[in-house]
Amino acid sequence: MTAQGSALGNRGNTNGRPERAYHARSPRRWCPRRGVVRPYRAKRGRGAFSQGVALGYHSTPRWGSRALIVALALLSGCKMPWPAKRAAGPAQVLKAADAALADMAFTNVAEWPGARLFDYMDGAAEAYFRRRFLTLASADTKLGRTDARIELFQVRSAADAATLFDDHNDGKGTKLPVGVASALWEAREMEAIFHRGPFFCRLIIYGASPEAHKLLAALAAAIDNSIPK
Amino acid sequence: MSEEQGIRRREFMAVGAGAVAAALAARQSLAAPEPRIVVARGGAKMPPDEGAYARVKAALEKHGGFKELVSGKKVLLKINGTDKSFQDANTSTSCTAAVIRVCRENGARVVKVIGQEWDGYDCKRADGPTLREVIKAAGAELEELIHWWLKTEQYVKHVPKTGGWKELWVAKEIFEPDAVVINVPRCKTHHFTLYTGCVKNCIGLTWHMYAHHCTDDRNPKAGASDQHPARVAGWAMFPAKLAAAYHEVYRPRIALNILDAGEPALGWGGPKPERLRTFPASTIVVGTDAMAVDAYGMQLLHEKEPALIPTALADWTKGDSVYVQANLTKGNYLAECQKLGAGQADLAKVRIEEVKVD
Repeated sequence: MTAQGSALGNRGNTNGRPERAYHARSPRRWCPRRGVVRPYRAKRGRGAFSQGVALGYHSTPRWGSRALIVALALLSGCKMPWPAKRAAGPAQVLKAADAALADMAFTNVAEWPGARLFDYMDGAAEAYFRRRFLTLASADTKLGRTDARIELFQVRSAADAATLFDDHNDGKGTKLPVGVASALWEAREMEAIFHRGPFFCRLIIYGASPEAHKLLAALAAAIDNSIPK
Repeated sequence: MSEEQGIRRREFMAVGAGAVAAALAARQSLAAPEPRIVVARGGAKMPPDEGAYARVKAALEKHGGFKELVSGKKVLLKINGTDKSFQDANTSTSCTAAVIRVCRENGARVVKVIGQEWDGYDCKRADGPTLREVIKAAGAELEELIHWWLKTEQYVKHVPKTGGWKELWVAKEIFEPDAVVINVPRCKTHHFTLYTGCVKNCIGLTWHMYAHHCTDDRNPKAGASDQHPARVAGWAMFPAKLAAAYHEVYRPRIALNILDAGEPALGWGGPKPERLRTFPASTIVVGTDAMAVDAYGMQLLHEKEPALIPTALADWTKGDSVYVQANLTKGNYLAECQKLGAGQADLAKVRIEEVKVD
């Protein structure tokens, strides 16, 4: 007996291909919010986001309709009849950071909301759920010969992010000029963490060369500056 | 090392882990104890790839029977590639390449790395290749088992009779008659289960792997949410479930265990204030009994951090160690395996043969 057709497989089908293809290579991608695979939508611009990997699009009224609604709202002295712009999620923050960085582009951008965090990191996800985890945006980037991995977690509140930071911080790291609090550890790889608002950021820099330090400083600043204050 | 295991820690430290085999052997009865493990140590001054190859080759030659085991066969390697951020948490590229190489040198028809992992195959390192690159360069295949929320025909149902299992799906390829499964984990600590080596590495051969610590084997959503009652209660079942699955399903299919202890890792994923760190041991442990190999691996970690890491058959629920405090299983899965007779984790009852690599 095989697993074909089992209820376990109710979240998508790779048609025999590795699941990771949907994250990195396939022209179709997994839509975590709807639980289906949908064609991605290309957007104009630079970097990975221009390849249609940014998540969290939401529909808005057409321009004609929008103008009419605005006019009606102004005439009536009311607030706009559609919801205010949604608070920026981690994917939007990374998108802004990507745009701000002239020397590097983000690749393999993906979002891992809710229980899908287990798809990203195995059982270690438990530690994030304890701090009221909402979603994670991950990406890779590179400067010269130095690679880096970006993880930007969003939890329910700034207090949760601070607690998550404390969970990771052994007090032995050095500080960076980013975030409400930060820490950097240097070994074969450099690992940096910081938090601001409901976001907890973890950066892995593959190397410790001057170039790696330059990458870290620029990347951390760009992400921190892209978090809505 | 505890008194129960036949040699004091002071002795272990005095003679070094390498000589512990002789000390233990001297205390054995005249009857040859079983099982046996081979420990190859050395090559620290060699380039990492050469050192790993020298250790693996020396250990397998001492162990014997490797050519007969793999010649003309399809060899399946279960390495540990679960961490996408740090190679220090995965089976090293050096050890992986060395094992593939010796398999090919000994006439394996096919060498395939197999497992459900979390992109550890693509984990980077500034001065070295990824596991995926090493596997390809060494001429092996890579079978990435489909994650548990996706449909697949890669798994087959094998339900252990004990441990409270109702459903367990295991990579069907390991049950093929000519398949030779070799377990090649990294020696390291685990945030929630304290230690992970040969026995626990087998979980990566299963589909709904979280069922090992969930009361509901059939509902993957239960396993994926720490708020789900089935998961909250499930961790306490982990020692019994893993022991049963290992004893009844995985163990009969694992032909050989090769523990990568070139640089054992502590602090993988925590627990706070622990951070991922390694220490040089330049060691490979080989044996057919995964528990004996794991016991030696735990001993290496214990000797490095005696206040933090208990021994294999100690009580993993008592003490001030942050690892013990973070042990969600509230038990010791190696001790559960021991109760089932799934192997021998008491090093005093294991014949340890040492090989020095220059």
